[in-house]
Amino acid sequence: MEKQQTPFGFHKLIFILLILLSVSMSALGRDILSDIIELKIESHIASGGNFDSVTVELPNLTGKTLAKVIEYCKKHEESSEKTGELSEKWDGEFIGGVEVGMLMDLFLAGYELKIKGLNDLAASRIGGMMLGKTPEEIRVIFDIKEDPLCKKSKSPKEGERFARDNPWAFQ
Amino acid sequence: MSDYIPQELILQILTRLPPKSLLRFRCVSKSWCSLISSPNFIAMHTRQLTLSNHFTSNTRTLIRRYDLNQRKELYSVHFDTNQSFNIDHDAQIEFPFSGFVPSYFRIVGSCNGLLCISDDLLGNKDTIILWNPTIRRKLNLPIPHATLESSEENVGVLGFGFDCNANDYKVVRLAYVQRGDWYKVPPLVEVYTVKEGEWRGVSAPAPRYCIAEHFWSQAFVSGKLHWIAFQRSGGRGSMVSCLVLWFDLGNEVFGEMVLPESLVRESPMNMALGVVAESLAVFQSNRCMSGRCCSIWMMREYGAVESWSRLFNTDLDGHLGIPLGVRKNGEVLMAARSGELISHKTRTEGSRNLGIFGTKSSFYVDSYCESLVLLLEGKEVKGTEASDSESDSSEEYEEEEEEEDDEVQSREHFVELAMIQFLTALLSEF
Repeated sequence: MEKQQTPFGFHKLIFILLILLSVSMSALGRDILSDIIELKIESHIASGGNFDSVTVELPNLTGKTLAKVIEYCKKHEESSEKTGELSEKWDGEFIGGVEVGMLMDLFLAGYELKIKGLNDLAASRIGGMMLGKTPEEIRVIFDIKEDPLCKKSKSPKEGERFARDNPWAFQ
Repeated sequence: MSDYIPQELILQILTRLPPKSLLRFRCVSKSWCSLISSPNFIAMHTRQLTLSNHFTSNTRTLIRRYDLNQRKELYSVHFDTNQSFNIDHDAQIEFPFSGFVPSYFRIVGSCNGLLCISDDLLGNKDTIILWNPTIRRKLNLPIPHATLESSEENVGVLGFGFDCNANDYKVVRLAYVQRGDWYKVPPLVEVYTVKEGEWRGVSAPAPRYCIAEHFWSQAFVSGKLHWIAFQRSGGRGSMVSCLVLWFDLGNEVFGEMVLPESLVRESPMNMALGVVAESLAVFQSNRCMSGRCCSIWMMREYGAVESWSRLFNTDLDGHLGIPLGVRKNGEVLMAARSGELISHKTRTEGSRNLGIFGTKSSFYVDSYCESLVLLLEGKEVKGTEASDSESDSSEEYEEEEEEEDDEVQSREHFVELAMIQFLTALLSEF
């Protein structure tokens, strides 16, 4: 998943917003994306950029992830309008119900779209999942392939030393 | 996947994890290892920890006591909730320094998961250790200059806390030398910082107050260390008045604050400082047992002396003991004279035994948190260790230990009685 650089002018922006409308996104979803785009254009103009060649970095979100993000935002907007407080229980069920890949995507989306609540929620959930896991299991979750310290074939020294010196941390 | 997760996000996750997991995850990859072991990460992790402690209601309490059956110091961590005070079995702390002293250490204080312990309670040997029980790291402090370079025996009063501007942990030592029927003031002041790794003097003038030998305690609040100090209001034979002496760990200057009026004339050995709901608190009880009154005062707004308010006041029915801390639900943790920890509600509603036993003066209560502090500076603690440099003396202790089963209890009793008599004579009017 790489960051996309999408150069477009004002007419293209309108075009994208129209597309968003046409795929019947919820009003909130549109708001989020158009906010992001507006914000980025503003900062581009403010820093002396040319309006015809605005570059907007759009987070690469799959439709599925975006739908989840919108579900989250919608719920939070509703509950903050109604009661003024957010339901921790709903948050827990929402984030607990997604699989690891989606969780990572939501985490990234929360970060890219600057939705702090979602970012924190996903970070906590990922943190919670990591408790009690072995380094090998962590490597799977984060898809890390580089230089495993504990594998005996490669640079075993340091990793083994950690395991030997702190056996209680590995129990 | 990790390729596209920015490091900022990895940090967001890792700073939330407990130290034990992080030690293990150093094995995940080289970049994770160097990240977790970096001073910046450790500082960030500690900041996150103090923040989350501030916001979560799920607080944990550390209890220490000397167990007469097992003949060693026992530590346990408890979830402090409204109803229960259950042990957190995941946070097991094994005390590794049993070979050092014949009884138990004084816990000077704790800060960000680091404990400062000293062996001056029942036999002064100037051993001061910073200990992180979670990651099993320790740092032995060097002998202070006041002890090394002077022929006169001094009494050390310690303080321990964190200087957040310098991102450094500091131990302060006030060395008092007895002169005739009084202590020589000002005391010699030295500061040890973990980054500097040695004792040095401070440039600000030392305070002209005394602190009660043996019975002193300190509290770290608002970046300052606090002790109960006292002075003679007039010349020889005049009354003694008490106050709070503080030392700012940032700019390293001393200052003072007044105590609630009813405590000014109280004997300094009857007062201990502590922290209640992140505020400075005075725990007042009677060591001599002639009076039974016991009270807890709290400074609701730091620095505002008019905000001293009495949280708790009770006429003890003899069996209750020394107040140690206040729980989230308002109940007071006390060490009963019988040697059991009790949670005291009110006089009418009574108190509940918590089933935690120890000698009455060995109880220590503090909030508990887990951090990576000392991961880089500290040495690994391996199992139960005897003193590195003083193996001779530990053997000596072992022999003493075998004499009697309740040796520690009688030593505790004897030392306290002697100190009470000594201080009472010192403080009384002539």
